[in-house]
Amino acid sequence: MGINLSVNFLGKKLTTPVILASGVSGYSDELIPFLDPNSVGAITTKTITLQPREGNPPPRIIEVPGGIINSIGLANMGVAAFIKEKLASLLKLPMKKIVSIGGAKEEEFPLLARMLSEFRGIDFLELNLSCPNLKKQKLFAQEPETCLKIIKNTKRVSPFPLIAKLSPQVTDIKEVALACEEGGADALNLINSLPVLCYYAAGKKLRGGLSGPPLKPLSLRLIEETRKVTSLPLIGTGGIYAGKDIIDYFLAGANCVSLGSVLLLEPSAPARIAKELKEILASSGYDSLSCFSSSTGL
Amino acid sequence: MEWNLTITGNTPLNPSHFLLELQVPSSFPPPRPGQFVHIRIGEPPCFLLRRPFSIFSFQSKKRRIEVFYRIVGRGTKALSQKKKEEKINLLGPLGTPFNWDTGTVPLLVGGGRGIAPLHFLYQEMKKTGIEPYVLFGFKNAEDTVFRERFSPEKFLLSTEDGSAGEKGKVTDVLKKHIPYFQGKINKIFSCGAKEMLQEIHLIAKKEKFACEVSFEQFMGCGIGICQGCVVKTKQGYKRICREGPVFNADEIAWE
Ligand SMILES: Cc1cc2nc3c(=O)[nH]c(=O)nc-3n(C[C@H](O)[C@H](O)[C@H](O)COP(=O)(O)OP(=O)(O)OC[C@H]3O[C@@H](n4cnc5c(N)ncnc54)[C@H](O)[C@@H]3O)c2cc1C
Ligand SMILES: Cc1cc2nc3c(=O)[nH]c(=O)nc-3n(C[C@H](O)[C@H](O)[C@H](O)COP(=O)(O)O)c2cc1C
Ligand code: FES
Repeated sequence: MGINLSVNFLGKKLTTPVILASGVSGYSDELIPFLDPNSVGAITTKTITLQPREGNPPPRIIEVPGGIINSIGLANMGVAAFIKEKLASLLKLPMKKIVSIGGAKEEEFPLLARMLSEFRGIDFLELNLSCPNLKKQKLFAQEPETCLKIIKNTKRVSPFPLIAKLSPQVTDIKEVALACEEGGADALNLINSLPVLCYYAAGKKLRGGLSGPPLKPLSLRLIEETRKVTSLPLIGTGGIYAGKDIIDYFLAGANCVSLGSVLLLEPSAPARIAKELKEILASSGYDSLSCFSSSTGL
Repeated sequence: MEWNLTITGNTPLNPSHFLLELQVPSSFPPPRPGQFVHIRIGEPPCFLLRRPFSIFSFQSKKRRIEVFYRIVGRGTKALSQKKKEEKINLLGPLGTPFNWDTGTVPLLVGGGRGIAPLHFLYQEMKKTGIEPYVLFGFKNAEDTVFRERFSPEKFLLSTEDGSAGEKGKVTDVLKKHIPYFQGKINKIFSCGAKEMLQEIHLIAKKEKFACEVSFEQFMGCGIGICQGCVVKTKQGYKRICREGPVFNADEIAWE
């Protein structure tokens, strides 16, 4: 039986439901040598901002029991250098391309979208409304009204479908999801890393975002809740290390998934995970993922 | 760049220092001194990040690499428990190596486990007919491993407690012996804690020696994608795993 891992996402065919998350794939060039392109449905760039950002002082990444805390601080080369130096090679890749954009201010999202709009090889824009490593008091994703406004204004100028990336640190995810939908978001990505703090040596603290295995149950719960109020496609993100994790995400209501921290440990993970997914389907007697996602309108 | 290698030895040199030997296939790119391997110690959720280790030596005929490590935490502890014949997954060789040419008259200054890349550098320099001066500093006599591998007439040893070699911090011993090195050496190569590297750079600058330093910071991916491993340079943050771990010390924006 030929097993088909492909999924339809916003009218485009992804060869697998596996998306590489923002921040763990760089601008793609350094990761590509490790990847089997057939195992990856789409790749997301590091979040790109209007101005280059040098990021936070080190240490920036620490392993804590069961998880990883990062405080990269959205270090990136800025949109102009990204377009000049990285975009052409990104657009040659066989998988779908998602460019993640982040604004220090609300107005920067549409500006970024406009600057990228002529590069039609980009498949989707992801709005990072949820980076935990900025000095801003509140995340955009914690303010439904702000999300609505940002998405609405970006939608006006963007030729690309918009994915809103949300934070787990909210009182009611449903409210945020609905605001994004009303603003015109085409899909939602749940979740970014969770704002936390640790002491890694006596008196030395790191404030950053928690990612890795502990995020999975949190994300599943948020996806399940979000699925109750919207039929938008959902990308499930958080703690995916194996094919079986993806099945759980589909059961909770996701339409595809993205891999984060696992790529730091195992840059070649997508091939293994796609293989595991195929084996699970084969042993369950299914030939495609739609069997696990009948409720999500895949 | 990703390899599953067989452990051919994992020998304690004293209670806290080990020498790991790995068999590499003929396709393994010959590493350069200063480069490192990024070792997968265990499986998630116990181990979520690899651990970086300098290459301590490479024997191309026997197709073997060695890693010299000190137990400092969970990962290095688990590494010390691995047995001969077990497989280990690593990425490498990674990073930017040390630079020298036939005109280089080197002094290698290392502290503790920071001697690892300098040992490899010493071996490779000797192959090109250069016999480096060496100054290694350790905590105490028990830690002073591998001293017999260096020519005694060009080897200086220090320990913090004075139980072997000269007593004092390696940087203080270096300062004391500067008159001896003046007019002899023209470049210092160093690896160790950041504070030590900064002091060594100050000395090198004063004496107008060139200086390359190798950093030992914690890392994420090790292959340049996460920006997790940076050091501040005069041109902004640079990645230790790609642009480093070896940097021209003049480039660093020391705090
Ligand atoms: C290029 C390079 C080469 C290296 N070469 C060698 C070598 O040849 N031999 C060798 O012995 N070691 C080497 N190291 C250091 C080695 O990688 C570390 O000792 C090892 O990763 C420690 O792992 P662990 O799990 O034992 O310690 P951990 O348990 O991870 O950490 C030990 C302690 O440090 C604290 N800590 C954890 N993360 C951070 C952080 N980001 N910043 C500050 N403190 C933190 C922890 O809280 C803990 O107390 C090298 C490092 C680099 C970057
Ligand atoms: C080192 C690192 C950098 C990240 N950078 C970004 C980023 O730039 N933009 C973004 O939207 N998410 C970023 N993330 C969050 C991930 O995309 C992902 O949402 C999160 O890590 C949860 O997934 P995981 O548990 O699989 O890691 C980053 C995560 C890590 C570990
Ligand atoms: S450790 Fe990821 S960029 Fe260096």
